[in-house]
Formats: sequence, structure tokens, C-alpha cells
Amino acid sequence: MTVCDVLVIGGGLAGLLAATTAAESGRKTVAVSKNHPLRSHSTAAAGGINAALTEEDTVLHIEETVAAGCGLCDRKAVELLCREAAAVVNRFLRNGTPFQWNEERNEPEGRPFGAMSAPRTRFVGDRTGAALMQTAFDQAERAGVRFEYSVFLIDLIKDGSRIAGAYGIRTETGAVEVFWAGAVILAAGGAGALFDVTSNGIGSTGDGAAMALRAGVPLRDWELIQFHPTGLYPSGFLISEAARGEGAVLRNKDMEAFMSRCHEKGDLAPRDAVTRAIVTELKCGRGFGKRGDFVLLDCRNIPSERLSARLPELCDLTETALHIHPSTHLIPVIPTAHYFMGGVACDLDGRALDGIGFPVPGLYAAGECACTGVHGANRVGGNSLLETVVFGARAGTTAAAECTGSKALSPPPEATAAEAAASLNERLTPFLNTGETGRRPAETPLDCRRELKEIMSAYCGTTHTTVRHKQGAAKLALLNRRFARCRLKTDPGRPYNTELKDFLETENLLFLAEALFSAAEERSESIGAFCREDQLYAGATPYHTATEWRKGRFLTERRPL
Amino acid sequence: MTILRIYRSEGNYDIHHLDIKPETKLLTLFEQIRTKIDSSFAFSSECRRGICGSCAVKVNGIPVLACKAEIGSFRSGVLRIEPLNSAAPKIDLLSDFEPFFRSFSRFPEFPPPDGGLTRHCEPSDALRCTQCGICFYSCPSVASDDGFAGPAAIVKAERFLSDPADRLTRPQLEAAAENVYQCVKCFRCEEYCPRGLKPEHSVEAVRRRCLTLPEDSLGTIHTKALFDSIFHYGKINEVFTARYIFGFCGSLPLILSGIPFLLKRRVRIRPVFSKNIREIRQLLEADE
Repeated sequence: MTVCDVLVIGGGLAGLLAATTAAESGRKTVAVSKNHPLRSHSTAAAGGINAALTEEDTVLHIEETVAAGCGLCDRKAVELLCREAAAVVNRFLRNGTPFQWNEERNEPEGRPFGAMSAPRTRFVGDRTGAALMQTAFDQAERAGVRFEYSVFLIDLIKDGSRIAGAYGIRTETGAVEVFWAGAVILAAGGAGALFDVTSNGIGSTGDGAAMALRAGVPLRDWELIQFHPTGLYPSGFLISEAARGEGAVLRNKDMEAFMSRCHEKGDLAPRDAVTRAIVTELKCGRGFGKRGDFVLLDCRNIPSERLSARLPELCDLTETALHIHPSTHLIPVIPTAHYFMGGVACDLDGRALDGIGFPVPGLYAAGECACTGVHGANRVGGNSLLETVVFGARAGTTAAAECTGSKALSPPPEATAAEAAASLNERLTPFLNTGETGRRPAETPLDCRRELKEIMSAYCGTTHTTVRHKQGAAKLALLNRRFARCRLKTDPGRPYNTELKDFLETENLLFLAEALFSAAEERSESIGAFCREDQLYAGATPYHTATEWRKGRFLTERRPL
Repeated sequence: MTILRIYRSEGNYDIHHLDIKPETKLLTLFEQIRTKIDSSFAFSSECRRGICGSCAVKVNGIPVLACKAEIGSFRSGVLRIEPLNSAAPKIDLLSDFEPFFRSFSRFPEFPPPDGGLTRHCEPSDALRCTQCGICFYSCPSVASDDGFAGPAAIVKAERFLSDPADRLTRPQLEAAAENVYQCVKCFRCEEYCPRGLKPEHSVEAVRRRCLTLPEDSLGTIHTKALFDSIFHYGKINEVFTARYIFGFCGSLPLILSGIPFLLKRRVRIRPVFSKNIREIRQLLEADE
């Protein structure tokens, strides 16, 4: 058992920032993740981090973020986000992040990005996320954060109504490990792995969101999922918006640059608009390929020196995946599941909120798994890195200030560890390999996961209808029954049991998929990234949805802003 | 038909005979094995596109990223697949990255000493490093010496050399100086780096910078010793350089390890002068 002041769940950028600020305020901080922080999904963030450096530009940044969010943004949160941006970039600069520099203006170079009228996305090639992670990780180590990067956390632990820690499995030993803390910060990222075509890594399984749901904390706007317009066909690997920022153009079968017809901002329209335009092109039969299921991204008008200097990852990706170079060939692209705007609702200081808007004692959230209200119904490119940094740090500060120090902490009941092990045992017992073979062969968790991805992409993907939700939910119920027939081949207590990890991740994904269907059905009109084919127009008053796990089923309710 | 021999535990390999298209990625193959053949087969992967560095393995002894390597790119039809860190394997294809990450953190990014920011750091190739650990675990100096930080860490340190804010502070530079002389220039790191980075260049750059350190630092003495040796004898004289670097008493313990070299006549007690010593001296003087 580990006792600490602040427990941070997740080692991405939000987690690192939260852990650093908490540790700098003198709290004993432990950051737990299932992978090394430098391998987290934040390192895949490519394009850049938005930061307006002048007052005028800040006002514009606020307006454009709110406008892109389609009325679901929390204006106060957006203002806070945009006003802290310059300070954040300066702090990273000072600590060693080598932003591309504009010699004339003597400030970090800005790159145009979607839905932005001015170039304000600061970047490091197209590896901005990795560069920020490097700086943030070194900072966190210096601040004295203790990293536990091979523990797979399973559930939160409650002490009365307070969230008092979490338990999970230590990979090296296979033993159950309990973390007991004064405050818990949830920064475990999104659940992009729900989809077949996704820009997310295979580890983005929404473990944090699933933990919160099981602990009785509702998810806000869980159905609002951003599909990035340019994922590499067919895998969905991300091609950064920076490509279009540098001048690339989307083309359909007739080589028409269709975005100039679809939106006044052309290829740099907000992501929801570009994605919808691509989906429409494909539906109208103007897609490329034998099955007409992709469009093309034309980077040939970017000079090749600029391409290799500013978008090296893009060149590398097309080279490895398709053996083509963007300066000579067009790149096949499709919309790809990218970002969950929704998540654990929280206030401006990162306190997680329950169903009626009161803080959940001891629980904080930041990053993709949180819903601070800055993204509304459609996130602006470059705002996610900014959000992780600004709100990650805020959550860390609040948690450090409000937590009961580990010394004053009521000592963990002796039974906690045993209880944790018992509850895990109970959960796994039906899945243990008892040797008996039923009539039908056992399923494997990875088979179920693959099928789940197909279901989600087909029935809850870029466009929605009630009919498809019903069909999808029915298929999901069948899949859940099949999942119940999974049998683990190996002993769950075995060291380095990746099979068990696959199993638990798939369980989380299935759980979140059910929540997603429940939330998507409740949202009856199109808004931002959520596109309903049976109700194209947004309603008069925007609303949030809150999805809760209560008495064995999901319940989604509408909440006023 | 491709034959795969996959490491599972000490002395225990799984053998799969598979019909695979040559353009299949190694990682896709691992995933298929895990889904269809053996769900307990352990390997690590994350982004599946070569930017997270999780999936490095050894194929027939050569380290590669599984998500980027295609089956057809290996000449042999028999692939022996082992974990990257085969000296201390954990289970199946999982490697212990702890030593690598510890060494990688040895040169952390640092706010400039004066506190304020007047200048900025240039983006460099070093940032393309994905911390896959391939260079670290294929480096013979790392294998033979616990203290060596390894190529990736030196690439990271070199980034600060070109930093106008002088982020590579004195203690850090001294730490780097102790490391760069352990590189034996085998170029394996450059050969295997999946991102095409050049750690040897970084080693050179750091060595050059180390000459600015005060005269009593190890790097400077080392360079001076070699220079003087060549100036006096026209070639590197091991006895001379050892005495120069470690002093007379300090070099006594080295005699033991020197004996086998003496017997094989790789090291001579009586100095041997180069025939062209005069030209060498002229060259050196001209260069100075």
C-alpha cells in the first residue's frame, strides 16, 4: 500500500502538469500510469499549442473558440484558457521547449490552424506534444513526483463519500496494489480506442472515465466526439491539421478542392465542418478509390524543404505506411475518431462535479477525460494541448491546497487492501479458466474488442440516427453476452500478464460504449461534432447531457448550461 | 512461407509457420498471433505508427521497431524474434526499459541559470528521438559499463549545446564529459536508429565543447594526453597517455590489465616513434 497526499492517475501532459504543481506546493505526489509518461498518447499530439500573445489576439482567440464550440462552451473557462496561454508558452520556453522561432517578431512562430483567423498555433515541427512532454517530464522529476508507470489501475476507492484512492495491478508482480491519498486527480485521457478508425493509440481505452462512472460520478456530454478530418486511409493514423495550416488542400474524385465550396474558411474551417464536408462528399459518390471511401490530401503545393522541416512526421508516416512522399503523391485520408470533448464534468479549478453540480470530495479531473467546457461541441485544433497544460496545473494547485495531508489522513482501514483484492477476485472469477469447456468455444478479449470497434464505427460514428443507435445498442448487448464467455488463459496473478490488461481494458471499453449509446440517444439534435442525420438543425437552447451509472444501467439526463 | 521463432522465456521459443504477405508489418503479425493463436503472448505497443517507441524488438539480432519493419525487408525466411533488452529479458517480448529511462533522465531540460528568458533554443533533430531504446541496448559501451549514459541521452544533451541560453550548465557538461569518452565509435546507434538520427555527431559535438572545460577536467586531460602523445611519438602511446591522464601512482593499477596487451605486443614499454614524425609535427603545428 502506498500512502500519499495527491494521487495523479495518468501520465500524459495533464497528469504531469497536475503532478508537478502539486509536488511544487510541497505535497507528496504519486503519478500512476499504465505506461511510461514519455510513451503516453500526449506525445502523439502534432500540430501545436494555441497561444495568443497580444491582448487583441487573445480576444479573437476567445471569440473563435466560443464560436467553434457551437454554443456549448463555458465562456468563463474559455476566457481563462486563452488568457493563460501566453504565460504557459513562456513557461515552457524558459524550461527548454524549443518552439520554432520567428526572428523578426522575436517570439515563437505561429502557424495557421483550423477555425482561426490569425496564425497563433505555436509549434515544434510536428512533434509539439512530444517536445512539451519532454519538458514537462523533466520538470515533474525535478519537482520530486514519484512515478509508478507500470500499474494498471482498476477502480477508485471511497472512504465514505470521499474519493480516497485507487487500486490496481502492478504489472511486474501481478499483485494488487492500493494507493491511499488525500486527493485523486483523474487525468487518464480519452477513449479513442472505441473506434475502428482512430488516431488514438491502442492504450486510449478511457480507463479513467470508466473508473469515474463506476464510482458514481457522471460523465458530461460523453457523446460529443471529434472526428479529425484527416486520418490516413485506412488505419486512421493522424495527419496533423498543420498540413492544411501549411497550405495542403483536400480534393475529391474530380480533383476539385471541395472545401472552398463548402465553407468560407476553406480547408481551414473548423474540424466538424471539414469532417462533415468529407462525409458528404463520400456519400455523394465523389470519394476516391474502388469503393469511393476516401478523399485526397494534396500537399504538393508546399515546397519540399518546408515540408521536411516543418512536417517531418507526416513525411515519415506516409513513407512507412504507403511508401509515398507527400511532395509527389496525394495522400488518401478519411475522418478518424480523435478526441472526446465530454468527460468528467469539472469546475474552473478542476474539481470533479457530481450530477447536481456539487464537487465530489477528493476527486479532481483534467485533460481529455475531463469536461471543463472549453471545447463545447467542437474542439478547435491546438486547444487540447493548451487545455491539458492550463487546467492540469490548476487541478494540481487546487488538489494540493484542499487535500488532507497524508499525515492528517485518517489511516486507511486495514481491510482496504484485502477488500480491493477480494473485489477484483470477485470480478475475475467468472472469467477464470476452469478447464471445463462449454458447448461453444470461449471468446478472447481481443476478438470482442475488434468487434466492438466495428460496431461503434458503424452505429455511433461520424453520423447518428435513432434507428442506428437502437441497432447498435442491440448488437452491443449481444457482444456483452459473448464477452461474458471470455476465459483467461493465464493466471491473473502472473507477472506481466498482458492478457489480463487486454481483458480489463476491453471491459472498460464495453462499459463506455454502452454509456455512449445512452448519451447519444439523449441528444436529439445535431450540434458541432455531433451530426444527426434525422435532425440536422440544432435546437433553440443548447444543453449538456449527463450520463450516470445507476443500479446497473445507464441513465442520461439533460442539464441546462 | 515464413518461419517465426519467438522468444517466450529462457531457452524457450514458440515456432510459427505462417503465410504472410511481404508488406505485412511485424506488429500486425504479433497482433494476429495474440488474437488468433495465443492470447497470453506479451509484447508492448502503443501508437502503432512509429512515434511512441514502445515496440522495439530484435529480429535475427538486429533491433527494429515492430510497427515499421516489414516482413519482406528481412532477407531470411526464418525470423528469430527476441526482446530488445535480451541481456535481461522479462517475459516474451517485453523488455525492461527502466535502465534506459534512468539514463535518459540524466540530462534534464533546465531553465537557464539567469532565470529570465532573453534568447531561445533551436528546434533540432534531437527532438525526433522517440526514446525507443534501440541505440541504448545495442551499444557495446552501455553493455560493458553501468555508468555510461548511452547515445540517446547524449543526443538529448547535445541539444543544449546549440542553445544560446546556455542551458547545458557546468555540472551537466561535466557529467556529459565523463560520458562521451566512453563511446567507442562503433556506429551501431546510427545504423539502427529508426529515425535516422546521428548520435555519433552528437558525441563529437559534446567532445568538442568539453575542451572549453577547465584544464583539470577529465575530457580536457584526455584530449591533451592524446595530442601530446601524437606530437611526441607520432602515434598514440598507451603508456604515455595512461601516465598523463592518471598520474604515475594512478596508472599503477592499470599495469595488471596491461600485461595481456604487453604479451601480445599490442603495447610496448619502449616508445616507438613514427617514421614520419617530422611531418606529423608540422601538420599539428600548422593546425594549431
